[in-house]
Amino acid sequence: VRFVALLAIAMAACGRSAARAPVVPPLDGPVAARTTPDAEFRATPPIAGGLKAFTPPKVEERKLKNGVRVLFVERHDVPIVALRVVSDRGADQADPGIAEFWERAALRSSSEHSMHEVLEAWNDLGAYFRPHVTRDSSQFEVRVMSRLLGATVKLLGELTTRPAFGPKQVNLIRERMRVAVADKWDDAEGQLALAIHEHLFPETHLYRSPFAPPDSIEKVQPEILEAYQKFAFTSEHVTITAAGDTKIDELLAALEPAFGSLAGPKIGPQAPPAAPPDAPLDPRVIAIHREGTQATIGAVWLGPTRAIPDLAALSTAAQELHAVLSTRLRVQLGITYDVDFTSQVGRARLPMYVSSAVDIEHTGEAASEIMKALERLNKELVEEKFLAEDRAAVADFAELFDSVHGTAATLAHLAVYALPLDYYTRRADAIAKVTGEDLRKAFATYFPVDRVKLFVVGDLGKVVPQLEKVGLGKVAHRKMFTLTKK
Amino acid sequence: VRRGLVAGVFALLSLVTSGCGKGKPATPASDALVRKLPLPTKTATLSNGLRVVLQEDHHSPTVAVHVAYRVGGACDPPGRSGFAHLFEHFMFEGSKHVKRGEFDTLLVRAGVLKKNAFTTRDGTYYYEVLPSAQLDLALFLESDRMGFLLDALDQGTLNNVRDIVKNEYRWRVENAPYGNATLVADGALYPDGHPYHRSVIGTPSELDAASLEDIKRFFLRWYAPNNATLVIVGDLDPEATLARIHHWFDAIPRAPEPPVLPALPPPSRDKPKRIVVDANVSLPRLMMTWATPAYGLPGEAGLASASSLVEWRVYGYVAKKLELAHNVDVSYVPGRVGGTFTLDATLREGADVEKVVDEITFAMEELSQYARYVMDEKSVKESLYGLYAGEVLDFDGLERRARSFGVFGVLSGDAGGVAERLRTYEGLDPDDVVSAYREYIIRVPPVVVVVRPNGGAPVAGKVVSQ
Repeated sequence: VRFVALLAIAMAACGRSAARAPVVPPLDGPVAARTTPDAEFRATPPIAGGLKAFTPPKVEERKLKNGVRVLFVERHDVPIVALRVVSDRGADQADPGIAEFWERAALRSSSEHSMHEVLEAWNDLGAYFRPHVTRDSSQFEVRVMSRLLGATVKLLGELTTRPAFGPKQVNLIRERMRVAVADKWDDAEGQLALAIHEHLFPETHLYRSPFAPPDSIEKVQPEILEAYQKFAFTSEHVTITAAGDTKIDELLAALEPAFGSLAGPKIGPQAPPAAPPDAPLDPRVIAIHREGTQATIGAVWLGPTRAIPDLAALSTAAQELHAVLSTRLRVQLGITYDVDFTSQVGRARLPMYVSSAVDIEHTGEAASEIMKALERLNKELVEEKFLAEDRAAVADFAELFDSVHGTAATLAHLAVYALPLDYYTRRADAIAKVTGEDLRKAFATYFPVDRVKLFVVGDLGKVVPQLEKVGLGKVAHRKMFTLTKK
Repeated sequence: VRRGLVAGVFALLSLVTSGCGKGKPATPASDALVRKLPLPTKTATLSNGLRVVLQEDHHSPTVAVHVAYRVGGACDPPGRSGFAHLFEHFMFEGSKHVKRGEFDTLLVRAGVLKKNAFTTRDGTYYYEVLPSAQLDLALFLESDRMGFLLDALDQGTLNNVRDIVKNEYRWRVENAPYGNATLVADGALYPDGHPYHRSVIGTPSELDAASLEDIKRFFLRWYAPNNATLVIVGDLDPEATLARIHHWFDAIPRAPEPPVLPALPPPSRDKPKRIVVDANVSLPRLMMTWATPAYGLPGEAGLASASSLVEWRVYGYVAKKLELAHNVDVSYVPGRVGGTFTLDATLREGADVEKVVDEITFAMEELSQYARYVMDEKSVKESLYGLYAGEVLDFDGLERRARSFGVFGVLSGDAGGVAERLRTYEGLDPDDVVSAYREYIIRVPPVVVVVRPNGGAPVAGKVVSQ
């Protein structure tokens, strides 16, 4: 309900009824011509020579008495502070759907205060608060005006160390989870993700569903959520990251009493789920029926973990693939609005894919273009001028530290993967050194065209004949994933 | 029985919340906070009418450059809906000194961190965040497309851009679950001829009707320095930056003053308008919308506060107590011509839609009847405090801050208008909120769009009765 909603693209339907006089006159009225005089200095774009080396902000590192690590960047450009309470345990450490449910239910009540009282307290603070969960981490994010930092940390500490999840609260969250799941199932990108995970992971694998499975939502009980939070947020597994308009001593003085009681036995990191066996390549193309005027295509393979030695080359390769396909499908052919690249390079191997929603009449052409681009990049060297653009685009690390909340989030990323504080400086150096040959090897190793499968969500009557015609391999098809009988 | 019970609940809640108020933080003194906000360091207007807003911030060696044009979907000419948005895409297709495709590659080579654009009902906004050493490049690119865009326009570019925008329409509307609901609601809420009647994204047939001559005329009418605000935030020296702005922009001639969008009173309606939409979706959804006064008019800011209170109360009654809906969201979008107040509920499977509408209406009327108890000093202050804090948090990050200045510039004509907005919030009292809620929401029948799941209908939805 915030005022920022004004940025939403507002839409209204085209009217057909009798019109009153429009406020904006038609374009066929008089419009005065005007010409800007040209000048010699406009002939050459003024690009300053040499990009400045990336300089990350100074990070202060401390520990609370119970061993909780604190990372902080002081800055006073805006009178706010952003905080993250970060655990390096995430959805991989629980049964399917539990962490996603916890993400919606956390930060709402404690053993001392009801849901109503906690909401009142958040309202009083005017704070933005949100739990986040990924496969590899669980986090609390809070942003607040700096003058209210002390009260905010106190509340956050209470909700972190003494959480409560009442039955009524859990049932309310269950309602919202049902809507969230329904939205995923209704959406074309959701259908694509469901098909990809169903195909790549065996039935009992933790990653069989990309989203909380519908039956998991019905099973969640308060004690499961409480156990998840207590398991994830122990002093050994938590780092608190912060940035903004305060001083490290003031921050520590607020954190110590709020988080000092955080304890818990040290339990070694649990191994991520094992990679699934290679999925059969036949059939090469799987089409999922969904009526509409677009087809959503995904070219999919199993990505690596972040333990690989040439992560910089992989990132640069992903940028190149995105640039090539955006240029081809959007700019040159005009058959799509956008191209997405999805990758979660974390502790476990997860699907990596390039996808696009294309005009359904051009499904075969788009699928063929995607495969051709992957084949070419697996074999040929990328031109140096394009490689330079890729390196510049990938190394835009200043963006990560642009905002106060972005800085806290970036520090959280370092904490989750136990990365050194100068990680981004090293990474910028590594990206600067990526060569054309490094890129080709990265494509051949991490984007193996001979392991790529195509998934297409669209009207089978229209997409299957096109896919068969372009000859990318056997085309199988299946019904849309459905939640309810409509 | 029901009515008395609900009223009792509201009254009790009011007493309970009043009792909890002690020791809670009070709304901050806005003057003290506003002084701490990074507001514009320097403003200027060039002789050609270009408004310039600069804000110095040296925390990183980057700058955000944002150009806001006061032309949005509301300015689309008759028979050409979607034109302002279509035009947004043209602005990346090259100009006299920037070849097609070069706009993006030049920025990438210069180490750009962010670049994009967006169109709303009221404005079109373009931005880049890049190393401060490359500020001249951004000024070159923005001045070239403001002054020399027509030199690069051709039919091939028009065809290509139109194809991309039609694909965007397919993606955002035609193939999106519930994609038609908002379009249908706005079309009914604002009568034909009202600037907000048509969708910002337009319709494929009207996009097809656009000619190259239309594009040229649209540019000449709206894309001129005297209809734009240039905002630069970040690692800059105000005097030196202003000199570079003069260098790049001074020669661009002003246009005859473009048409001014008037602030229109909310359209009147005698009875609720009901529209039923069938869609291939999993859950039924209900959308109730009201047209409200334009940004800055009396009562308008009170509706921002009322939206959060209505959400809290209706959710509590319809979703929590009666268990008819999964969730309820209430939003308020201010605009130059008028605002829109929307209640959106996702219903439980099999819920009786008539009953839900009846119960929501009842809860809202009950809220009005007991408004002075529910919207008490404390509740209103809390909701205003949330809005207040939201504005301050939106200043985080150079691009967001530049965007905030740009949007305020389009809405109010004053890029630094956030300070005034904060003072307005602080000056509101419960009577302002209650009277705005009664006058613009309770006394005016809404447009109600009901989306029913139907496996045989398009996913975006198809109107079956209205």
